[in-house]
Amino acid sequence: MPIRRLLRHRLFMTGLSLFVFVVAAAVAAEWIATQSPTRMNMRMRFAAPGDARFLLGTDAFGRDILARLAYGAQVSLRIGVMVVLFTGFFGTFFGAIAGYFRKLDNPVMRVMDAFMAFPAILLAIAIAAALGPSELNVVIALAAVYTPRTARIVRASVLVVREAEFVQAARVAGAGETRILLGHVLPNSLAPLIVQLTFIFAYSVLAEAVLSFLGVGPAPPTPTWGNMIADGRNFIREAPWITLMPGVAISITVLGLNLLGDGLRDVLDPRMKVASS
Amino acid sequence: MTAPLLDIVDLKKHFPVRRSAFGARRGVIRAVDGVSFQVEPGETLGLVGESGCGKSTVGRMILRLIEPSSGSIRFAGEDLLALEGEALRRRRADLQLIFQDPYGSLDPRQTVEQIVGEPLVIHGVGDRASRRERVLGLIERVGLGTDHLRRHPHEFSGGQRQRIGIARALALNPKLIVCDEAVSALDVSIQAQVVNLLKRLQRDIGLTYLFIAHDLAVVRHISTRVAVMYLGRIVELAPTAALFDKPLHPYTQALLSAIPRPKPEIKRGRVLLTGDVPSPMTPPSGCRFHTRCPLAFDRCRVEDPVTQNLGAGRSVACHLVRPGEAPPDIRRDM
Repeated sequence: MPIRRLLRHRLFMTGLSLFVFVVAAAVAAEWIATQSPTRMNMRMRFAAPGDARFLLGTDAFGRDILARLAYGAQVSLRIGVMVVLFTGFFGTFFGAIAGYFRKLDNPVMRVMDAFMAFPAILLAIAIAAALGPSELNVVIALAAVYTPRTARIVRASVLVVREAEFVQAARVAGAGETRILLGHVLPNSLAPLIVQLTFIFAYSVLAEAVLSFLGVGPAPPTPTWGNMIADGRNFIREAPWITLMPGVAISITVLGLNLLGDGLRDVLDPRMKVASS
Repeated sequence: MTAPLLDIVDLKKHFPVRRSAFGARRGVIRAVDGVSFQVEPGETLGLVGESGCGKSTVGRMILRLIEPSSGSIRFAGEDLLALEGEALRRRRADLQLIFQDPYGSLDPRQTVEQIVGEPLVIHGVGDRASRRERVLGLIERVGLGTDHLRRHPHEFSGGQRQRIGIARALALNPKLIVCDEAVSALDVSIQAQVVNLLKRLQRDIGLTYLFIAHDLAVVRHISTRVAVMYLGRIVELAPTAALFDKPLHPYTQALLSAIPRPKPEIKRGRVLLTGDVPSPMTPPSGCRFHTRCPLAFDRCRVEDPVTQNLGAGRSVACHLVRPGEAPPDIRRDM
């Protein structure tokens, strides 16, 4: 059984622990934070980590970094989940029709190629900047960037599965195209997609930080990890923890998700051993 | 004679071969090039030939999994090639296929109950409870049990999987089942079990089979009549006993001499064909077999032999077979 093999996969379990840790922090943000993540304490600016009231220190406005990290995790995970849902849906839709209905292959995939011609992060910045800074717009921008890549992967596995004999068997049984595609081809094409989506989750967390840092993400003072790094960069010599803490948070999340994805790939899809973006 | 269940006339399938992405046609593969035969109700017609001779393509054209380039297929008097959409789907209930590969032909994500029940669901047969009962009946009929219903294909052996495939093919009470190399992928001992299961089913429910295979021993065991294919054509068609006793076409003779014999000490004179099967893209002129036929003479190289009906259900396409004369024999003439 795949589940038992995952439980024995050490890297997968490491990744899972890291990810669960971040999820727990986001869920428990209200209890972790002793005060609002946006409350300023002007007399407690630049408190170093280890302070009695502020475990991870405070930033230039005297805001509690631990509280901001925990609430920032909520934003990052929410964006990650939404991007995964949108990308999963549209990527599967376009990939499936392109791979299954051969006449749609060229029209659909050439549009996807056009999107993929732009460097991912540049396109995301352009879309997010055009739509204006908000959480939803970040999701839209990232979904637009990752959908073509996902569609490629779904299309590739649909192309393989549609030639399987059980597809012909279904046709002999009288099944129509919709039934064959949804009932037989797609369920057997999803393993690479699931793997891909965990990586997309990781990219989304990273990309959200980049967009926030550049000022096209959720507007300050919303506590996002990217905003925190942007806020702290002017004081990086005097108070390095302001940038370091969110940096560590991003690293832990991305590392956890990548290990998770690697483990899933080893178990679900052993043929593709080399990761692709 | 009764009306044939399946009547195939001059069936052809030419696959275009394109060069790269530019779509320039380079040629055509004449996978099936003018095949005609009938299948009588209740009989088993064996279709044999080397790999790549087009026998599987014929089977798949009958089920409309591959569209023929030309020719006609009539099933119980109805023109199958004229059917489209819903009418075709309904007609498919009468024609079923058993696949060669028992690993690839079952959806790995379905349970046995879903696999065998799917045709019933699609054709809207009965309600959930009665379908379940029918699936159980089918499963028992092919020698599996209730406890197998909830399992997935990977939990079964090759022979058991093939039984599942047979149960699925039987679900809609078909009249004709095309067995495309149905036992070729199985161990010899399992082959015998599955062949006997197929024979028993035929006797019990009056099935008609088109049995496609390359294993002559199996074909001899199960078939009423046998058609021999070479490079997209049928070269000889005869009742099984007649064909195996006295093959007329030189190709049939060569094929039969290649059957392993239980007692090798009895010399029967093995005839080895030299060379490879020519490419179906550029079939030889005249008789397609002349490049490898030890008896070929000038006429074979220029004139395509017509299929002659010899009576007693025999027909053969060879210039050397003439009524009232001794048939050719590649063993004697070599």
